[in-house]
Amino acid sequence: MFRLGEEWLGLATRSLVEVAPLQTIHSLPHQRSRALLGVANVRGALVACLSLVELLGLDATNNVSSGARVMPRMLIIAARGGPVVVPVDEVDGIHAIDERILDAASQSGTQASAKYTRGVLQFKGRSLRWLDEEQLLSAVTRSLT
Amino acid sequence: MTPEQMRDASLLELFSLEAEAQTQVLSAGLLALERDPTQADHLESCMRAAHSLKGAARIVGVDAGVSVSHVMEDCLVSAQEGRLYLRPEHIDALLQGTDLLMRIATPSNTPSAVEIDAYVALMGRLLDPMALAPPISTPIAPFMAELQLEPPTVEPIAPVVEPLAVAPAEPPRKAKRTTENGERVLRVTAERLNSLLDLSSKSLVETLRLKPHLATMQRLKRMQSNGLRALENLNVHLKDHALSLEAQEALEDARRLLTESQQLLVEKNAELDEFAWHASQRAQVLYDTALACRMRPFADVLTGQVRMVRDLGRDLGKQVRLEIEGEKTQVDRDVLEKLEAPLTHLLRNAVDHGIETPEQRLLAGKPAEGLIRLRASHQAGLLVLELSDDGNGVDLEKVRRSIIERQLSPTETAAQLSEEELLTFLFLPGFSLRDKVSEVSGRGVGLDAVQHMVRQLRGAVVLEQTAGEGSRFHLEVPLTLSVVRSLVVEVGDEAYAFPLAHIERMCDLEPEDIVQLEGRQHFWYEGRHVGLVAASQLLQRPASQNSQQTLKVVVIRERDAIYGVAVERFIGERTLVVLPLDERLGKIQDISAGALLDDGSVVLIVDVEDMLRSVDKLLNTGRLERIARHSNQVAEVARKRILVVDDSLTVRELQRKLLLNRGYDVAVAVDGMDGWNALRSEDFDLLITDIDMPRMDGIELVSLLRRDNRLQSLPVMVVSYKDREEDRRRGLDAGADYYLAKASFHDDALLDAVVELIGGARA
Repeated sequence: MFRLGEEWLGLATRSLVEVAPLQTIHSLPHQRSRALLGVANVRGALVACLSLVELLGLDATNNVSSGARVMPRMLIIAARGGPVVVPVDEVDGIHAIDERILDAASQSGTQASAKYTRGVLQFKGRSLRWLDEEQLLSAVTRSLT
Repeated sequence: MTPEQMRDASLLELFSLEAEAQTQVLSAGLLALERDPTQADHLESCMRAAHSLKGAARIVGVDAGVSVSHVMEDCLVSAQEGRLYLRPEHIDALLQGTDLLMRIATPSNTPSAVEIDAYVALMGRLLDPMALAPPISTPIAPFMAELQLEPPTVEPIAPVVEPLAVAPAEPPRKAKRTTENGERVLRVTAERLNSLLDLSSKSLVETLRLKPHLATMQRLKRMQSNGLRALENLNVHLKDHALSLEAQEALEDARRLLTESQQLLVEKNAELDEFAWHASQRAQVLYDTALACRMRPFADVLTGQVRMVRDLGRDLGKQVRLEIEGEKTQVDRDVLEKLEAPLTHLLRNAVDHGIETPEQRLLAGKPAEGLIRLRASHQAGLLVLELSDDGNGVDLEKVRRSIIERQLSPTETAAQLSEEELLTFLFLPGFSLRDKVSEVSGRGVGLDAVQHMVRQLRGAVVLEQTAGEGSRFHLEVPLTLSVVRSLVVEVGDEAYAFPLAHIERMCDLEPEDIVQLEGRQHFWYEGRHVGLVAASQLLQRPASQNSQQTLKVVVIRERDAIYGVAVERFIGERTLVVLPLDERLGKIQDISAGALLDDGSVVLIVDVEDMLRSVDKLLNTGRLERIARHSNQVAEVARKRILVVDDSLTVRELQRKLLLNRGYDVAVAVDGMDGWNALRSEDFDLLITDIDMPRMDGIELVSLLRRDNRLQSLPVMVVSYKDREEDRRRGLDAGADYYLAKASFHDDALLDAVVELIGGARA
């Protein structure tokens, strides 16, 4: 469960490799897509870095009051052909959510705009958007090449 | 120990290492086969393991190992070919052989010759179809009994083998594998090694932060001692005044406390100083060691080669000696690994083709013993290998005849081929000067395989020869696969690295050094004016604000092309471990790879060849803008460029005219090799190639192209007489985007296909 701008999002842990501290991202010359931020050092390997904000078409402005303990981090995600990194504004943690709740959420939430969304649910007093990992990962792969 | 024995001793170690690995494969495979005796993949892997061990045993001269693995291989091959169904007694025997092999490879535990003979005989019995008749246990029993005298191996006829097979394999394996210096050899995954390197480089940077901290502590010490002095001063002044007892005591306390803390500070500072020094030393050593893990001496690839050359020479009735220079040259393990096969090929070749028989040599006035010399050295960021022999050189006339016989070139053309051109034919697939195929060479798979492997390393191999005096192979392999010395610079607040091998020089330019020529910025360098381009513009990165007056310039050069690239800051010279970029990103223009700096931050390594082309383009388009009123010329440059590769003049010309009429810009090449050279030196939008061509065929050309970073995305159309579906498949599998049968291109099929692939002639 993590935050991008003002939105809280959830991603199934089976596609998450690691949560890492924020690293500097080295941009790539002749950039082709806006989602591709560059490459970053993940445990001594160079891993492509993508912007979920661009990928999901979110509002890029981050005007959430920056509390003292908010730590931006990087999620390392297992995509087809190797890991990719996505920076996020805050990570809440890993939570076990009952599948029935998820199923219910996926049935209710059918907003037309939300291409990468499997459902929206209320969790810990927040509105949590549950990402469709398959859709997301194929978008990740597309934006790399 | 004599050097000879030393070498043999280290060879034996390698053999036991290999034996350890291969017997594991064998045990695992055999156990799987026991459950299902026909599993092809396990049969295959076991057969290969036995075969490899046989070869290894032969190289180190362990005859017992050769015979045991030979009979095992025989048995497995029979099973593979379906002539033999592996029954438990076969598996038993094979496992027993596996244990024997392991013991053979363990010096302290070598089985006796009797045991070996018994085992070979046993396998012979098992393999003999006649002996496979039911009363199988009776004839074998005596042999087995003999075997059982030694540490309990396998209860021969017992049907349950599994637990027994695993247990006896253990004890001999416990012996630790060591190198000749008594050091253990371990296998580590590349990932772990990379993360080790990453961590050690970070710790190196961390310790650097101790230094400023230490300086602050020294300053604190000075301030504190000044405080003490001030107090002493005060004390002197107060001497004139009458002080109360309390005040005197308070003053005394303050002085004491300050003195004590001064002492403590001095002590602790000294400790911290020492600690910081040790820590930085350690971090440096740690980093160097981690970096060195990737590097191995060139000698590693040579184990066994000296012996191989001698033995092979003896088999062929020749006296040959291998002399090696530069064994200690450090080479990346990955490169070293890939060099082994081509080197072995070349050495075998030199013994077989190069060196003459002692009689011939004496007749020619040379010493009876032939000499093969192998030199390894670093030259300008490349590993250079020179392999020369003092044999007879290459019989050029024979090559010429062979070319004509094989109809690779018409007689008239062949007669005119230069020595250099003739020698390139030797690198063609299937080309051999041997009339009959021997065990050693003559299959025509030699030099083309060598060239292929060297090319995979992005290197080059050249053959030179002097008739009667010998031939020389010159191999150049870039070290850029592994570690590269680079100049790290800053562009757009980010780090980029120029490999030193490609840098002509670096310089600071004052504003008055820069001249305007034809509206472009130039500066004078070695008496010629050199175009200047901003790196940020080249790489399409935002330029950062730069208040400095002087301009930092990296001068890059490739033969005649020479340019200055202006960067924002020189960071310094660094040794970088090249890290590949994600394959999914494809080739990134102007960038060859990435690396990490000491502090773990990312640096991109500039592909200088690519960058020179980009500079060229940038300058040309710059000029274009100014001469835009000559509309013809603009159209000229904007036309799409196609390379046509075909050995038939007719086809070539036909295609050229068809495409020219449609407005494309067309260049031609006469065969794969020519085409490959053109593709590497110029820019094209499309490649149209034939399949059957001399020197390098179309399939090879396309495969090469697809492996090349810059060219892999170039659209390719294959045009061939071959019309069958399997030919089509072969072309498309190699990486062609379109396959067109020659029969159909008078009509618009060719042009339609071209439009389909790259669109019309103008962008």
